[in-house]
Amino acid sequence: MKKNVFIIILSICIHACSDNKCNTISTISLDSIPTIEGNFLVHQIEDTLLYPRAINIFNKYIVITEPQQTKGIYTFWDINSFKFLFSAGNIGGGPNEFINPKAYYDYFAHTDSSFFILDSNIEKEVVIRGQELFITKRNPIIAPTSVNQMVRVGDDFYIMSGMTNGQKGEHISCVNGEYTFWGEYPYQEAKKEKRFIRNFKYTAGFEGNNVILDFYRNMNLVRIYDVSGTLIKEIFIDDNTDRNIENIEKNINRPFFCDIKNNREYIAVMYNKGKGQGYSQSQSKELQLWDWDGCLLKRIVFEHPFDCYTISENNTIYAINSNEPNTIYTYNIKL
Amino acid sequence: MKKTLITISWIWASIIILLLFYKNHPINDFIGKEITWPNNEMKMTNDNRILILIQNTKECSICNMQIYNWYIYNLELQRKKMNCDIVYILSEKHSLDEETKRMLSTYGLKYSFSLETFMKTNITLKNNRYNTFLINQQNKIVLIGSPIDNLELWGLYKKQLSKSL
Repeated sequence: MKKNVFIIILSICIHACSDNKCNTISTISLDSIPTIEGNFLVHQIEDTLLYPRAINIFNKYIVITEPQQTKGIYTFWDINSFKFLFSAGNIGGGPNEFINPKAYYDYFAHTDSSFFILDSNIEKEVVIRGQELFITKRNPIIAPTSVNQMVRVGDDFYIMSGMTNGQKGEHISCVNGEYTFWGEYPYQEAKKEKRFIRNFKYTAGFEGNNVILDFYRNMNLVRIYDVSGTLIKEIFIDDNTDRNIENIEKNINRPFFCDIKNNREYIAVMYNKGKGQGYSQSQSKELQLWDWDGCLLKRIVFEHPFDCYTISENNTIYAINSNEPNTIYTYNIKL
Repeated sequence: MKKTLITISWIWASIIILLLFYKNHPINDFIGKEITWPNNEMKMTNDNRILILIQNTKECSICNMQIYNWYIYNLELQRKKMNCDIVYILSEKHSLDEETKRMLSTYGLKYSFSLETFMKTNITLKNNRYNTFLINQQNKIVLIGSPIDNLELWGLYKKQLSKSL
């Protein structure tokens, strides 16, 4: 009897693997990685942040996106002294102006000398000269659907979430302006738009890396794909918290993952332990740190809420809370 | 009761007459048709043209003309070094505000207020439900329909334009 059960379980695993063309399936028990307390360093700033929507690090600058600012929607702060340096980036039709970057404020990538933002379906490469921004390259993203979770994985090579109508693959690759669809949605039962929403994920990747990682909002699942679209690994989180997923359309479900950021070494993602109804970032204070092989390295629970954050290349978390417009928080991840 | 029946009969008769006389141009009727350009000051820098007929700019020219969308498509053409002008033909009765004109100029989109003259000289385009055409170097229509939000059609546009590279 035991032998039969074992064979059935094994065959189910093999079948699941072969269906998804996946090499590895594993489960991570959250209990095996205890949480640690995260105490922020508090940096009082002299100037006031106005409705900040994103924070990023570029070279010696902290770049904060403040769409309501009239003198430029990007404000630049010294990474060491936290002093305000300048603001730049006007909305308009001029050669170095922006159309509507606030719609995609989560998108940010950089090289040593330039950074990339998504402005009304155009990826713009931006350089700083003096205290002004200059757009040196424009790449149109003529996506067949609204752009979701786009990551830059190469020069003129992007991966984004699938179409919002839930058709075709769960990812779209855009290489030199040509699009291909790939990946099978993990939850197939939902149809059309509901399929897209039920399978919504946050994607991490960066230029030159061979893999992307998907963290599913409504599933205890992490997937690793290579950038050519092969599913390499599926990781399930052992978490039996009632997520109220059946009420996803009423938006009173409790998601698993949200708000993803990454540097070249790690992926930082917020994880909701599912206390209380609905989702607000003040409830979700657990930040998980993963590596690019899909190993959960750290669970950090912050006492202080924040609503925008980033992880720098030297493994420091920079966070802001829009209710505290005179403060920037930092936390160094020691591994 | 009788009056109602007569009214209904009239409505039906009108619909039947309209259906009999309305000629819905199939796409193939337009393919290969030569386009005559109105004489105006509009300068063309490339041989191929995407022609967009704008019947009415309504309240928001930027939205109605889909300027942002065509700007992104124009960027793609430039990136792929496909020589093709995107040209709006607007009604002679309409005007554009300075902001819209400036945007069109910045985004490299061309326009002309010559729709009525254009329609007189290109009578075959009258009464059709398409407003977007790809015109080749011989001034002939090679594709019909807007590629905006239609990747398959945009693929055909690019394929066609790459032939003339």
